[in-house]
Amino acid sequence: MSLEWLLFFALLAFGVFPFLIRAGNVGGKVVVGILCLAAGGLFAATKWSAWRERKGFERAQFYASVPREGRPGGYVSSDKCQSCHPDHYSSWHRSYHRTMTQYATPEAVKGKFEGQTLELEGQSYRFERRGDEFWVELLDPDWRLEYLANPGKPPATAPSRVWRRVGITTGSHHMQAYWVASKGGNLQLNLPFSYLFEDQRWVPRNDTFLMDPKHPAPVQLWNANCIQCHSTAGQPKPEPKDHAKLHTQLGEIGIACEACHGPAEKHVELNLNPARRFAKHREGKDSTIVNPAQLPHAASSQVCGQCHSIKSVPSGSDWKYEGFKFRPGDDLEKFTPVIRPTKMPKAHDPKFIDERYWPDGMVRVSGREFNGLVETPCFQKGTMSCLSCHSMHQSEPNDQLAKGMDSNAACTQCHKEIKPEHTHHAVNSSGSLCYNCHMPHTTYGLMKAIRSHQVDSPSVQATLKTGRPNACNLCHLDKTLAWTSEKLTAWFGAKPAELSQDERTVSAAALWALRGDAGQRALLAWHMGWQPARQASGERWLVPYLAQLLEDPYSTVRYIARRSLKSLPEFQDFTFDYVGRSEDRARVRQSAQGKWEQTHAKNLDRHGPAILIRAEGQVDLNAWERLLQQRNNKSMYLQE
Amino acid sequence: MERPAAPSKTRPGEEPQAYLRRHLRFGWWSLLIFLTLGIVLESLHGFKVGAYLNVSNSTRRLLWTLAHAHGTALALVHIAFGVTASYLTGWVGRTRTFASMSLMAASVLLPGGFFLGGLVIYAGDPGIGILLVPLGAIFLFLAVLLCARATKGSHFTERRK
Repeated sequence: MSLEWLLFFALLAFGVFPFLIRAGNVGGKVVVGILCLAAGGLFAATKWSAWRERKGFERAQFYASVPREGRPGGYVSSDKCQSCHPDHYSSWHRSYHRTMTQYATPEAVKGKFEGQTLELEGQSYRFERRGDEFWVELLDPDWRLEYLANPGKPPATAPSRVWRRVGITTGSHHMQAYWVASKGGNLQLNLPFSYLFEDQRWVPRNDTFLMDPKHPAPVQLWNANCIQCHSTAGQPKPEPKDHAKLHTQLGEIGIACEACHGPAEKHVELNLNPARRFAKHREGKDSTIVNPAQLPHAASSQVCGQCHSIKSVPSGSDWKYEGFKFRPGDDLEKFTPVIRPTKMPKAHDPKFIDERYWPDGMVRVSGREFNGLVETPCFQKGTMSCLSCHSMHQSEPNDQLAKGMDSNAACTQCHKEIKPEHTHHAVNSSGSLCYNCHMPHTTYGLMKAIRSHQVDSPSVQATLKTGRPNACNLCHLDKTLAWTSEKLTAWFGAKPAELSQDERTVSAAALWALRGDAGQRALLAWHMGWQPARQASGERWLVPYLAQLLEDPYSTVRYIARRSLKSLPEFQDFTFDYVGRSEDRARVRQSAQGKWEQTHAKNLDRHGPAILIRAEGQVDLNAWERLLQQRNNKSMYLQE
Repeated sequence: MERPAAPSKTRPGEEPQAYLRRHLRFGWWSLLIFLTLGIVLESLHGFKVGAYLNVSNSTRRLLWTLAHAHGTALALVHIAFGVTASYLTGWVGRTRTFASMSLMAASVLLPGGFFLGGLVIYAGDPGIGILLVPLGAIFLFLAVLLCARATKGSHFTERRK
């Protein structure tokens, strides 16, 4: 009998015993009632114990199939932080960092599993929720992995359908992806679907990336890739003789305290002593833990940069066994140097660079903000760091901007000499906000445009050289590059740009939307829904462009166009399945066009040859088709 | 002829003064015990003991706090019961005995159940000790109900000065 049961009996007997010895005083029936009550309690305890044991066994089985927390190396997990740092724990707990990767519990899983059956590439996937567990019936993912890994050599066994329990989830902000355990240790294989929160629907995972529709679905192994940044201090740990079998260990499943503050074992151990804690409170700092806010600006930013950058893993690195050796406060360049095409233009595979950077080396995919920061003069020559504008603990989870840093104060905290006239826009207009010109949304990720974190100035020359839309034309959607060049020359002395006939006469936005590459089209589709751009450029004329983009070959372009279209008056109820059948798209496009002709086209807020729409609400079809024929159809896959 | 005196309804140990003594003794000693538990819990906070303060042990922290709170409150209830019983000299018989016993049982089962439930925890679930809590709650309910009913006027008698 366990101590727990022994104590249970002792307490029960101690509670009931007085009734028994004084049975004569309380009456026989009462004593019988008391004994029945005690027996009922005992029976319930037996049931409770059996249920708990079963639950404990299932829990142990589950945790053996997923990457486990508790790696060695001084990591103690956030479990131990709350008791001393409740405010910081609470702000971190609200963050999307914490929920980047989670075990698949009912609190974590946002996707609808009840009674869902999804089809993809001839395979069906049956989703089911069983109590607190999430299951999927699918073609054996281990068989599929073996098949994809050896395309010329099919596995010896026939494929079978199996039920697999979902082990972990990725994402909690915009969408969520799911992973099931492989037979190889605790290796996690991705389900080929993601759940979109905004739309509350499942979509094929490929259709959440800006990816050539002809591109084969990539095989994703959480333990080999995502672990690098979507968890704290991960160690993949493949078996030396069988790399398909892993025994992955983590500091913590999400991005937790020790990702930024370093391993905390010593800090926790020393601070068990209340006298030391009191002394450190008075002192205001503690050398046993790293505080990024107290590091020099470069080292502080590298704490974020360990994940928010495209980094190089030196050959011969043993990170797959030991995890990355960088710790907050170290020099990141010594461990996983940031890949900067501006510094090493030929050091990397051109395809690798093309999928991540604009041709001048500016990063173009989301989540790699440190790449932008290190190319920024404010960082190189000044003391700008991530924490100049962001705060992990005094901010809202969305964007994690420090108080007041969503305004010009972000820049004027250093650039005090800048006067409102510098902007050449009305004070308090969106054009007078520093970051709308110097940090435009030219980065792509998460099915939207995101601000570039490489602070620079609008330049038509840069647009012509790289194809990267400039800030002026991303807001003034109805203006040509010639107009922008003229303004920048007049206001800031920029060198006039040499432009083609179309670039002089047709709005830059129209050119990017019709003949741009998929990356440009995605950015334009997003900006056509961006409120400041609509205020500056009007919105009624945008419908034919957005309708055109509903037919785009790239699914994410269609998704963004649909979202922008739905934000227009009269189109709120517009329905369009961006991953639906291709033959339906032309019909939906015509439907949008027809609706426009009956509504907005009769009351246009902009017209003229620059936007290819005549005053009477007719599209200049000749010019339209001509530009569409010139569409840049190069295959793209932006590796966000 | 004088009729013989009717036998007393009060058995030995059942006089109001005996209740007063019993419940005061129980109340003050249990107050000491749960006050000591409070000091222990404070020390666990002071020395940041992980078994009590780590997030994964929040169930234990909650249950032991409840054990401390219920134990302390019930100790005071015992003192109040003893004093009340000494005023309600007209309240005699089985109901008073049952109320007294029930209060004793509740004072063992409620805080004891919370404490034992927190001693062995399973992630967010408490140990089997938690099942003693509803039993204790039933006893406490009955004790308070009986005591409340006994406060009707006829049970009050003038106390000796």
